[in-house]
Amino acid sequence: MTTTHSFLFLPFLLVLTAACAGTGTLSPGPLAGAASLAPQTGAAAASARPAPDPAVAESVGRELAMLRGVRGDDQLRTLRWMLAVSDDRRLVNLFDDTRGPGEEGLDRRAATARQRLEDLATRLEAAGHRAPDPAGLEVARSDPNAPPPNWFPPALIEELAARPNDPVAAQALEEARRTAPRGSRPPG
Amino acid sequence: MITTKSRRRPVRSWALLLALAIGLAGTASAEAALSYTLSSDLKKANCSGDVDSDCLDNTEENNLAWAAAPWYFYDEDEDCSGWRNEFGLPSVHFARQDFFQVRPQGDGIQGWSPTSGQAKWIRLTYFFVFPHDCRSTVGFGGHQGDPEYIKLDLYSYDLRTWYLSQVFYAHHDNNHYFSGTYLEDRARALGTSWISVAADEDSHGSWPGREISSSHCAGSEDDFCASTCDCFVGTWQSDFNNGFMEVVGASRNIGGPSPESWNSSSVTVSGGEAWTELDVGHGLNREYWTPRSDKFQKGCGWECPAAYRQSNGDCSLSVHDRTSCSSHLGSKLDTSYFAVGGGSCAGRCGGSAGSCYCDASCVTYGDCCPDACSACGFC
Repeated sequence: MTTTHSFLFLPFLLVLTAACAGTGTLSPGPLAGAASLAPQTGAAAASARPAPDPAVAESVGRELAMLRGVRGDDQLRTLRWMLAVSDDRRLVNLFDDTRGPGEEGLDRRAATARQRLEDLATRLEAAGHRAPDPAGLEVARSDPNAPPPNWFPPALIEELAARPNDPVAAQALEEARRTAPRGSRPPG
Repeated sequence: MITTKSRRRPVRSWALLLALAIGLAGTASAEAALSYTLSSDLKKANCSGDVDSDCLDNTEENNLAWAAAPWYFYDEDEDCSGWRNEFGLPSVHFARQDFFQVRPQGDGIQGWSPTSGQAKWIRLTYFFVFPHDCRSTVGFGGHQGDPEYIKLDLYSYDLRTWYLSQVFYAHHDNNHYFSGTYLEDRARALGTSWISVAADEDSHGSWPGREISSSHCAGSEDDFCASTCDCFVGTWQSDFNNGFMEVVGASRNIGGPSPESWNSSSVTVSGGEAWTELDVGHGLNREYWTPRSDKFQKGCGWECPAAYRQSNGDCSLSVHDRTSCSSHLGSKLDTSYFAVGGGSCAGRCGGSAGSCYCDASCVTYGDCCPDACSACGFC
């Protein structure tokens, strides 16, 4: 009996070893297996969870005009994206009463706006809406290595050419014509 | 959901990198630029999310306009805005009204792909429409209505991250482009990732700022006032640090003239006309975005009731000591060519249409639009 059991266990052990080796090669770390399961879990959860109350998304649209008419999941994605902005003062123009100018300073109004956005996101989450976490996303940044444009629209070239006395336009025109000379086709 | 996206991303990223490498071969080297990143593509498959006929997702149009919205500064002597006015009236009389327009550039917009390796362009226009210009310089009196604007040219490879190439700043019909590198340099020096718009005193011409330690509106571009123009309360830097600025509003996306359509959530649309009605302290008055040849041919900043508008567009009613009106709102719109499908020479003979041309040279260069021969006779 013991011998038989050991014989049966051997293929299982080989399969298990191969599976572990594969996991390690593709994506080291303890979460790899869990991550590969997540789509099924997420899809199952999405189909299992009850449809969120549309009234919640409507109420969010009423409080934040930019999100009016936007689906709840997209509202949540957008809210998280807004909250990822590096300077809270950017948030003040989202609401009529924080836009200013007003009695309160910019920083105070920014704090108010952030709190409201967080409350709206919480409300959508509580209603069952889901959106990915924008961790690491920079809404705005100064990119020291921005890829230059590899094509310029002819209409833009014509506009630049129409301003011969504007030195910046002239420089941009030179660059545009060098990058996208007549007769060239857009790349890609 | 997150994991599904992360599983797909390597494929998309590799394709994008490859396309970028091919596309960028032979182009200029990288430069610093301000960039704005959306949480989803500006243009979706099948043009989904588009409500103003430009194939761009309107939710992301709004988001991009919010993400890139400039800081807005007033001069210490400003007396004609929502911040402060010389008449001691409620701020609504002089408050800046912000609108914006997003318009793609080129043709084949419906085929824009995040992995094509081609730079895709859009123009983002911010309108700063003041009800009144209070300038009192001799020979340069103020007027009702004061529509100001700037135009940002942005490009993207992946339809999410948009790089600022240059900005057109309009100021008193003496306008200038400022390069993306100039604006990035100033923004970085200031400690921010956004451009600035500094309004000159009481008449609100739009300027980018010069040195952060000064109050100058710009460099030699503002020499029309013999270097006496200044655009900040103190220095640019001190204003920024002290929060003496506003963020331009990005809640009113107007859509635009054909081939775009007007966005009825931000402007009133009827037939072929589009207008905005506002009460800036003188009743509910109308200003048109579409061209007019009648009494609405000028812009009176919502100050002049229809009954007082004269046939030449000015106002017979004096409002804040002025009866003349300004240029029409429609004159500030971006009307540059684009085509959701292929470019066409219809009405474009002698110029370009998207990514092809409709002129005699196109035969030599081999870049004629498909209908250059039939529409313009260039065969």
